[in-house]
Amino acid sequence: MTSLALDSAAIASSVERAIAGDQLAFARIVGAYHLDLVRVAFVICGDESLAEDAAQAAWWIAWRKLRSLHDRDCLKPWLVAIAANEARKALRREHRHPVLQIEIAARPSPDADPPDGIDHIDLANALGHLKPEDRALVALRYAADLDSSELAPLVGLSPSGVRTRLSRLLDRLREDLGDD
Amino acid sequence: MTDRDAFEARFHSAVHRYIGSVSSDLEPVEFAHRIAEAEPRQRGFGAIVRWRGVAVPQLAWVFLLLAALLALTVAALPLVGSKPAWKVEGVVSPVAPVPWPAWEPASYADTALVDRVNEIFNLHDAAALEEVWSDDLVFTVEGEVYGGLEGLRENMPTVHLARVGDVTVTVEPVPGLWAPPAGSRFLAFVESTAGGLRDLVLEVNDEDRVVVFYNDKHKQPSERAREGYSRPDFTRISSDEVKSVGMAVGSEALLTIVETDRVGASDMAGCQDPADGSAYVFLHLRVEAARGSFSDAASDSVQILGPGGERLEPVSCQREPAFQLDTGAWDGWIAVAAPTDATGRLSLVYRHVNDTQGGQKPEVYEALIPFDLSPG
Repeated sequence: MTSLALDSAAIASSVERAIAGDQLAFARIVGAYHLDLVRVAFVICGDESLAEDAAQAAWWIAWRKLRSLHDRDCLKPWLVAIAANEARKALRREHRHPVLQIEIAARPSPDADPPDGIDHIDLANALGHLKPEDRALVALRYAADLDSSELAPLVGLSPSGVRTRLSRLLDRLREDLGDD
Repeated sequence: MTDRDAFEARFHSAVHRYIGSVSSDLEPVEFAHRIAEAEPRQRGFGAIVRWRGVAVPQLAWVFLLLAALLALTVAALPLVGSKPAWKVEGVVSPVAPVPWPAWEPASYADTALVDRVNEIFNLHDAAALEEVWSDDLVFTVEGEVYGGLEGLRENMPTVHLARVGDVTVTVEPVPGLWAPPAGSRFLAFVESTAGGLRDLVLEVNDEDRVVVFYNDKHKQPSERAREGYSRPDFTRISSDEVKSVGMAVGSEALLTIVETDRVGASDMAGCQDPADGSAYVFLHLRVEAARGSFSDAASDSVQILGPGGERLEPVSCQREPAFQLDTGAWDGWIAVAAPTDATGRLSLVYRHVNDTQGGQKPEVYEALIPFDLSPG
């Protein structure tokens, strides 16, 4: 599945129509953002099937509460925040920490070194060492690409508070990834 | 670019590579159809009778909630203590004069009140004291007990109260201290460090035990009664239940004038001093702040009448708003007058008009306190 980008006018129109009960309009929104939701959830729970479940659960909630979304421009932050929350809940329900289970991996060959020097295994393990709510913040920032002003209302902090918290998390991740 | 910025850029890139492999086979149209079929949008009455998945115009919810609130309010009116505002009568309390108190000097004993206070606060049992005053209820070191309002005010005992755990209750050595006989009541006003004033009515009952009535509604928010405390020797009454705290002991007249849903009570304490032929009255308006405002805009007056009903000019008459009215504390008047004839009798009329009823008829409270200042 590939995401279908929607411009601002198309988003607003689709939201209005979906609120009115238009299934196709809602399908258009799902098509545009579902992958974002899955990927955010994946960063949090580290498991693709769990992430898919969380994203789908988020859509059910979105359908019910779409009317409460007053600022149509905030659709994506609103949706990924729901997905992040569902991912955290799924993680708690499952009592699974698959990220932590990935401890042994074949040493990548030198020519397969990632360009940024951070391979998936290290990243997954480093994320797994974070608390779920911290993982959610990392996911919303670096997977969904939300900036601090978009994150602030979602996590109940000021933008500067978000930046401070992210900065601390980065320091920890940097240490965990042996980058310091 | 700092090291941290560089790391953040690399981390950002790594996250995107990490999630880049994640895909989904979800079919949006089929999935959206499944959701919409399971939870169809509804409108109007259907939205009201169905809870989940309904799309109700927000305005409809507002009207529905308002209607429900109104219905609940009307239904609850007969059940709650407050009377409907439109049932408040204008003049509430025509007060009949109380009997002339006989001048009966009580027995004097400096230690009697100390013993009473010891009994009141059960100083021999700190645990029991702790039951009465919750942990966070801490009094300032000094409070006053207006006990046996005989003589001048400066002759009244001062009781020092300290917090639980470091209890010291002392009574200043007051010459001619009145010992409260059984059946008498006296008032105590103690300040809480949490702010505000706490009023107590201490009563020596027929079994010669002291019962403390305190008004919970005047407690500060931080003053919480400990859960499950049994109050074996204490009775708690709310201001709504304080219909009357009457007292006529010795030369003293203490009245509770009225009780409405706005003003809890007005306590009136008078004393006289035969030595110089003057009378004092202490009036305390207890204000039910929880029910709304009771501002200084209300008019108060104190008149002093001679034995023939003639109005006398008070020697002094001053209002002592010692505490904030709008916070539900106390207001007081002190009026002093001298008798004009040999009978030594005079009356003091206290009149209070609360005209801040928000368009309702003003509430008027009157009370008459007689004094007999003839030499004993």
